[in-house]
Amino acid sequence: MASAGSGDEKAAAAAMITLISSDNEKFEVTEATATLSQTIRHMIEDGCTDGGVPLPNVTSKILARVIEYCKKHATAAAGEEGSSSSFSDAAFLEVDRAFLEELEEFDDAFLEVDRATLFDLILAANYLDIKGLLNLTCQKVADSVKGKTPEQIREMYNIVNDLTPEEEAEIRRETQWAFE
Amino acid sequence: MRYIAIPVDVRSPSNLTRLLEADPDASSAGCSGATLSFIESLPSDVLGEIFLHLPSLASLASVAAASCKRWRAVAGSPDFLRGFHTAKGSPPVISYVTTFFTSYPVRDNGDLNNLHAFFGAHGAAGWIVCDCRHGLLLISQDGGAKVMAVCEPMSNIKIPIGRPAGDLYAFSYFVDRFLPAGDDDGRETFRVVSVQHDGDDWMRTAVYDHGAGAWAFRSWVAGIEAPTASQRGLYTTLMHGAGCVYWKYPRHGRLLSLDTATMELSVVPLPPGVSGKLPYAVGETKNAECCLVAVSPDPAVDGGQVLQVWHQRAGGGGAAQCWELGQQVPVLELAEVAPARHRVRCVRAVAAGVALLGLEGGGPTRSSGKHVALCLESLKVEAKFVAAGLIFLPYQMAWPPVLAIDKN
Repeated sequence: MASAGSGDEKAAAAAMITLISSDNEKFEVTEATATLSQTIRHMIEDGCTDGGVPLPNVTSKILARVIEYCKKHATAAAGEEGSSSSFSDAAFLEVDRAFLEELEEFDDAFLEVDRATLFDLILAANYLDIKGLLNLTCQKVADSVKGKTPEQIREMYNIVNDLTPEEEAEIRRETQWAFE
Repeated sequence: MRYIAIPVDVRSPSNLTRLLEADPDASSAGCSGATLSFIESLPSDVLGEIFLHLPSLASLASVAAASCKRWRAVAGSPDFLRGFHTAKGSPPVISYVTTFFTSYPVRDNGDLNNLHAFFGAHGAAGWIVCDCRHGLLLISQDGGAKVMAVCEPMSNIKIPIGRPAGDLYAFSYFVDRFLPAGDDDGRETFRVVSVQHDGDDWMRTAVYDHGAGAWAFRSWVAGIEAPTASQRGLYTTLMHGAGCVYWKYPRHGRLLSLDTATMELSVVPLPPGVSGKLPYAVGETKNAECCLVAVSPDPAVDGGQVLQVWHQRAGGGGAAQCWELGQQVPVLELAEVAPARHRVRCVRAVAAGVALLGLEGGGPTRSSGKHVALCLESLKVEAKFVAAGLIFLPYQMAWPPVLAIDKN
């Protein structure tokens, strides 16, 4: 993320990249936004982004959400870099705090999606290698299973219980002192 | 409403969505039968990424392991667990167990009754504890007996191990779980190590590899002095610290160290100002790095003490280069430790960033039997108990069980 504001910041901000979803929709984004994805960053470094970057694993619906996330977080990254030189320390901290709060609010709202979309976002974040988005979405799923019983988890996610009664008894014994 | 044998590239969100759109009720209906759920379609590495966001080993074991076979396999793979422990720190100490199987709980959450019943039953049967590491106990019956055993309270399995031939040289044993090199299945097993000496300055190790089911002897090494056994017991206290095992030389400012990866023995100096006479112990921080906790006289306060945490430096060569002083706190400032101006008499053990301190009584008897388990990060007392005994081994939460896997 920090690298969005490296040396030739202005040139990077001006350069545009075209991303092409699996259903052939084209999205124009700045390089600063696109390079939150390590996968695309490497493509840019290898100079193979002319004529657009096809993303056959990501639908337009999901790609639009992913870009929304990247735009917000790229702005935040650039904002941090820019503000550090033009504000006094106290003012900078104030701006920084406001920024982080806003970003947190954005993230919370961003996660208000149905389960299918959430898992599609996880897969897209994994494929595009966007660390922040992957952490955000995985945390949401982890929070949803934390503290639940195996039965509740299976019900919540339609998981088929393929453990034999013997295995289940063994697991109960193993984890009897593993409560939080 | 059954999805069977449809070839789906699960890495493709578009395919997944398409499949799900074909039956919009699939997720919400909670219907019985083999409905394809989103979470089961995630590739293993992504499932692992989700598990990495669980807060602790306890939640990993009780959530992931208990849901279905695939989750259990992903959560229990050594590769995943390595990353999990790096991210979350060492599993917590849940109990301290003495040589004679008396145990003292550190946390009152969770149902530890079975663990303590297990300890109690073995103590009553005359077993003594030689070592405790990663949820495994190395036990021996009646000191001189021919048979030792490795047991695992979590799986309630005990595996007898014959002592190696010519074992009269042994001064210490320890147990370790490890991943055999070149094991493609990634199955962890355990080994037992016997550290032996002949005369003053010949030492060797014998390693029992559970996979091989036999002892293998290393060559004798000259020039390393064996630490003299403390008290009259058979075993000198050993201390586990990040891939090494340490023994104190009671009369010198040095430690004997054994690298458990290479089985190489070496002598390590103590940090400056720490001597064999002061209370100290080697162990691990919350991040599973090697540290040494010492209690030294406080130069600023007459009769005062100061608690020091030393961190081992990587590749430290000479005496002063080996250790770096981290925290340093006057014991009197630890309000919970020293409410009655208790002095620290000994450092019993350091594991998962928690130091077990034995306190001196205010009265005529030197030992009060009072112990406090102090978290080195927060400087908060996690447990207090009164106990007699010289050796307290930290029992850290461990999962998955090693011996149960072996059984299959």
